[in-house]
Amino acid sequence: MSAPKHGPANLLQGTLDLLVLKALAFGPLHGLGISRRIAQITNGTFEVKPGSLFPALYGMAEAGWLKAFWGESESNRRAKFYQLTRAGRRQLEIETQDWQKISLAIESALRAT
Amino acid sequence: MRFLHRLLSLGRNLVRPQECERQLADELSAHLDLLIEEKVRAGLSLAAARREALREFGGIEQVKERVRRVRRGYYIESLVRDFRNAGRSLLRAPGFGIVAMLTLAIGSGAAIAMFSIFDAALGRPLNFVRPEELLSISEHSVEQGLRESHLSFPKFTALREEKIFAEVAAYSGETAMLQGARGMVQVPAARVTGTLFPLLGLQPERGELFGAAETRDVALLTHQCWQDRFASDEAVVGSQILINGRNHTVTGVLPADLSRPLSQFEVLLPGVRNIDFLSPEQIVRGAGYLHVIGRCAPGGRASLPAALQRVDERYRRAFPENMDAMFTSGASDLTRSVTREIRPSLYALCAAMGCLFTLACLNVSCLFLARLAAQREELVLRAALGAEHRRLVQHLFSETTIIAGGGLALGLGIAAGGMNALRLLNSPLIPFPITQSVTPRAMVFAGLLFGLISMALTLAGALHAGLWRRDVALSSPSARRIRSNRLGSAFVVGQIALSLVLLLAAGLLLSTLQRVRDVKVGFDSAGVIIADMSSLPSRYPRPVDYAAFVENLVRNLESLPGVNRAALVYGLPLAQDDTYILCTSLDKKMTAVRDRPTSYFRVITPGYFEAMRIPLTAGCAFSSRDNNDNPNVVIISQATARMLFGDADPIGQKVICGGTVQAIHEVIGVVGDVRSTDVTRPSRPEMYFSIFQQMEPTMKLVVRTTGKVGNAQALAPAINKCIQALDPQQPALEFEPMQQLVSKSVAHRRLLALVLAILAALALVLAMVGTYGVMSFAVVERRREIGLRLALGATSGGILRLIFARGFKLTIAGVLIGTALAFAGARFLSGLLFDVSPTDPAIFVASISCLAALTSIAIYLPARRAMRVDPIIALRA
Repeated sequence: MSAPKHGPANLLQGTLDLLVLKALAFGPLHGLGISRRIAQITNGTFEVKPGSLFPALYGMAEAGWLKAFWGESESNRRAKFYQLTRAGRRQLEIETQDWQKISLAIESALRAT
Repeated sequence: MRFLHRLLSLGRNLVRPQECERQLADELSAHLDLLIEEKVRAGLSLAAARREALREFGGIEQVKERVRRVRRGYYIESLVRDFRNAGRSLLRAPGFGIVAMLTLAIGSGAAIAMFSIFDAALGRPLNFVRPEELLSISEHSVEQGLRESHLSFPKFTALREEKIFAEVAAYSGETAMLQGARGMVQVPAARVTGTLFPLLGLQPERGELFGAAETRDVALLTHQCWQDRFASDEAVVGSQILINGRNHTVTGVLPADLSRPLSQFEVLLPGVRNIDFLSPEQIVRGAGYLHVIGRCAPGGRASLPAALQRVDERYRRAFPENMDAMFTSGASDLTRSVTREIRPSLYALCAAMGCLFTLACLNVSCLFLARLAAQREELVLRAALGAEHRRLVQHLFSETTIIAGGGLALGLGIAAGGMNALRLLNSPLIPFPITQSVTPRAMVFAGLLFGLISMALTLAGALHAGLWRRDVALSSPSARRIRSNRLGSAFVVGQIALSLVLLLAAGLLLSTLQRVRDVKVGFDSAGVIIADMSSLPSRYPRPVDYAAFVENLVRNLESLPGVNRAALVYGLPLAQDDTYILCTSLDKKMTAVRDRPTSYFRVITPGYFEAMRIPLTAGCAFSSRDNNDNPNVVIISQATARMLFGDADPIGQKVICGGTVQAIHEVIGVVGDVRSTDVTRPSRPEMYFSIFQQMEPTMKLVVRTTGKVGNAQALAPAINKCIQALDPQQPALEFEPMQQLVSKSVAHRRLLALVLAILAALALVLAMVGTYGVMSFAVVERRREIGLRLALGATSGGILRLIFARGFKLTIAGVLIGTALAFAGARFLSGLLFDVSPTDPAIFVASISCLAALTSIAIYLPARRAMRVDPIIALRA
């Protein structure tokens, strides 16, 4: 699951959602900011292109996990910011737990001979 | 919570799509700007930054499309868009749409109408309690060739005592004289056992029913009678009305939705033994006159035949000389027996409409095939550009749905109109009630058809265009063309076959109609009018008075201007009045009742044969001397003479008539045979008795008029005045022409033939249009080939022959298949035909020639166009 600089084809949609939620856990960001934040917190492993970022953002917004609002970027440009909702925070917790369960399971499977 | 949110988003997306698009575009361009800014800050020039940013972005439109796919309501929105596009493209070329919808409308209209008729006739003809448990019990005699004969009272009693059925009841029809609001009228009435109402689960609409042990003079009115004769007067219930000259108390009114078989009566009376057309002696001795209905639980059905056999055995031992001792009892579903006569016609009609529907579907498929061919390039291009197959199928689906929807809506309208017309016609030929024009079940059926047709067409189109294959663009044009031509040809063959079948059916029925009209019925009905005179017995109980009245009546009537002859008859042909009597010749040994032949029983006044112009072939007619003081005489028909005496001279021979009540009659005359029950069945043996020797209460008055045929009815007032001058208490008679009885007996055949002729005509039109369409389409597709041939030296005559040959091969194939189908289905039609074999060669030849001629025209027109192809233009295209 590590293929740097290749976004859509190799990233499962579910993990993208988790990464986006995590990226927004520290505060609202605009689209580019989320992309950069994800690259940062995964140590450069995942670079999320707009082609997969925006569908994910819109999907999560329609599910009620994110709230979107127009604001100003650091350079005073107009941009659309996204923020976690209460439901989004809950979803982050759920997905974190799920991911931990899955990764433990796969790890133990790989350790077995 | 998530669901609710999604729902809200769905709503927002559908209602304000432009808003969403604008926001998306804004956001993406803002993102791009930020990206560019970032790159500029990293040190690139503006132009380089822009290029880099765009490359990193990955294509704005693609991103937009991916977002759109994720959005709620994407599918719905794309569906709506597809439908709008389909609608627009159909409007651009309205010819296709209109023809397809009309064709589908004709076919589906026929199918829905047929379903409605079937539903009304056979779906639920009886609205009694648990009608599937009700059985109609009747007798039959194989030796006598009689089926579904009425039961006698002793047999009914035996049935009741055996307790085979949970409940059993009987009724018998007669004519009663009713004093209504507008005077005395004759109404169909029924004598019923009181057990009939609990058996059928009937509840009165007003008042109450009478019970099984009812001995008073009471009566129940049907809703129809109460409405027509008593103007829906509430006060009638509980009051006394005059029936057959006696006061009866009206106990109640039956509900308006009373179904057959009781709906044919207007008054129900108790006392099944008080039938006025049979003497008590006759009733006891086994005269059959009862309709018997029994209720049997589904589990007990298996043991019925054995139980009925037991009843028959006991009855035979108890009453060996009774007329019905030799009959066997049988039980059949009441529903089936009530709809028995109309089933063959209904099935034939159903098959015909099914043919038309299939034809219409084939036609529409042809049209879609042609349209698909035209659209193929576009579809292939879209697939190559990355359109999902789902979207392409959706595009097909939206087109077929619009056509199917329009066609079926029109078809529903046509069916509703047709059913409404039938309902307003209120023809007595249609023995089932048509309450609504389109029942809910018919609507459901229409909906199913709609779904089926649009799905089938979509699938067929998708398969044909090869949309399921990955390499959509790769099938070569010529391969595709061959495939669609083959399919089109198959459709044309199918259409020709089906229209041939319908044409044959129509031809056979029309020929039957002709033969039926030409049948010699044995009497001359021109200028003859008839009326019911059922009131005589109560007025003249003494034979002497009765005889005097009859003589005076006939004499006075014949002295009226315009009246040629007048007579009274019991047992008028074609009036459903036939009763039987046992007879045997005196010099034969007294054979068992089972082996004695039966003949029709008729009672007449002396002038009857002249009034009906039935030829007297030997001996002499009755005279006024043939009364109770003189020896019994009888006049027999030729069939009877052959049956009893073979070739010997029957005049002067003696016959014994009757079963248990026997009398010896001398044959004094022989008359010609007469068709009685059904114009198409050969005459049965008949015996005529003199009214002065055999008093029969319910007679019909037959008057032959001298004037032109049309004026016969005009004599009615004069006749009535004459009768009332003789006896003021006689009601005014309603006359109808004898010819009407003759017409009525062929009326349902005429209706069926008419409907089938219309269907055949429609089928021909559709088939011709379809053939023309496919042939012209083939010509258009093969234009390059034709141009090539012409350029290489073929004559235009040669091209004509080429196209014609191809079309003719299709016609021949269609004719062969159609003939095979007709032969296979011949069995089913034979029940409706008369004097015509279902494989009549003349009709076959005529139909095939007609079809071939029309098809030739349909092929010739496009072939002529092919001839005119300019090779240069064709090759350049």
